[in-house]
Amino acid sequence: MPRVFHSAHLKPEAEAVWQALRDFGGLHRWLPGIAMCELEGGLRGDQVGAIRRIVARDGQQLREQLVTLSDYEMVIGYSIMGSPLPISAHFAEIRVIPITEGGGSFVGWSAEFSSPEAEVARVCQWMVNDVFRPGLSGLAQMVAS
Amino acid sequence: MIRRLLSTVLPCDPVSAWHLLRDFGDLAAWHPAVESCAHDRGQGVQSRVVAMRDGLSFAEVLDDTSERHRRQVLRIVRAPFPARMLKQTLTVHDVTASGGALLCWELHADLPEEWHARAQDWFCDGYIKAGMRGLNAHLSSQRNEH
Repeated sequence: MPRVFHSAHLKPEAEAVWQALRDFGGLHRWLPGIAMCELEGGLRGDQVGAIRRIVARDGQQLREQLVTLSDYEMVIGYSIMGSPLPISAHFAEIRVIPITEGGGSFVGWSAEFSSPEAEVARVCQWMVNDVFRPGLSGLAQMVAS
Repeated sequence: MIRRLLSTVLPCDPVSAWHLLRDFGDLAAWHPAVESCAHDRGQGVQSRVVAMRDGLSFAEVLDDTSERHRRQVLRIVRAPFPARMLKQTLTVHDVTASGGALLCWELHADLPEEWHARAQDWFCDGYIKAGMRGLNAHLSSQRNEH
C-alpha cells in the first residue's frame, strides 16, 4: 500500500495550529486552492463521523470523513470517500507536536491508500505537491496572521 | 503518573541523528551530564548503567527499537527515585520540508506523588534537556567537520 508523508517545522505554536486543524469543516481557511468546504449531515467539525464536501477552485470535488480526533495527542485522521482520482482504502493522519526547546510546532501529514499501479505515482505527486506542501504552508500563514 | 514530552529540532538529517541515538553504549560521547556509560549486551537484552556527573546513577534496558519509526523505548530498572515505572521513548521524526530532524524525548513515570516535582526537575529539566543540548552540539560539530 503506498504511503506518502510530508512534514514541516512551523513557527506558530502547536496549540494554535491544532485549533485550526481540528476544525474539520474549516479546510478552506488554510488549504490553498479550495473554493468551498462544508460539513454534511449536521455534525460539528470536531465530531468523529463528520463528512466534509470540498470544492476546489478548478471545480473538482471531494468528500472526506473525519475518522479520529484526539485533543490529547493532537492528531486528526480522515478518509477520502470520493475523489476525481482513483483512490480507495484511504486513511490520512495529521499530527501536531509542540517543539518545547526552541518554540514553534512540528506538523506531520501522512496518508496510505490503494490505487491502480499505473496511477500510484500520479496520486502520490498530487497528494504531496498539491495538498500536503501547500497545506502546511497555508496553515502556518493562516495561524500566524 | 507523569507524562512529559520534550522536543527539539536537530541540525542534521534524521538518519544521522538516529544512528547516533541508536548506539546504545555511546551515550557518554554526546550527553554532557553523563560521566560514564557501561553497556552490557548479555542474554539478548541490552542494558546500560549510566553514571552522572552529579553523582547519581541509574540502570536501564532497551525495551524496544523500531528502525521504521526511528524509535527507542528505554525502561529504567534502577532509578535515583523510588519509581514503580520509568520509561523513556525517543523518536526521531523526519522534517521533510527542510531535510532536518525533530527529536521527541518522552518520559512516562509512575512514582509516589511527593517525588513528582523532584523527578521532573532532575529528569526532564536536567537530564533530558542537557541531552538535547548535547546532541545538538555533537551533531553540529560533526556537520562542521564534514
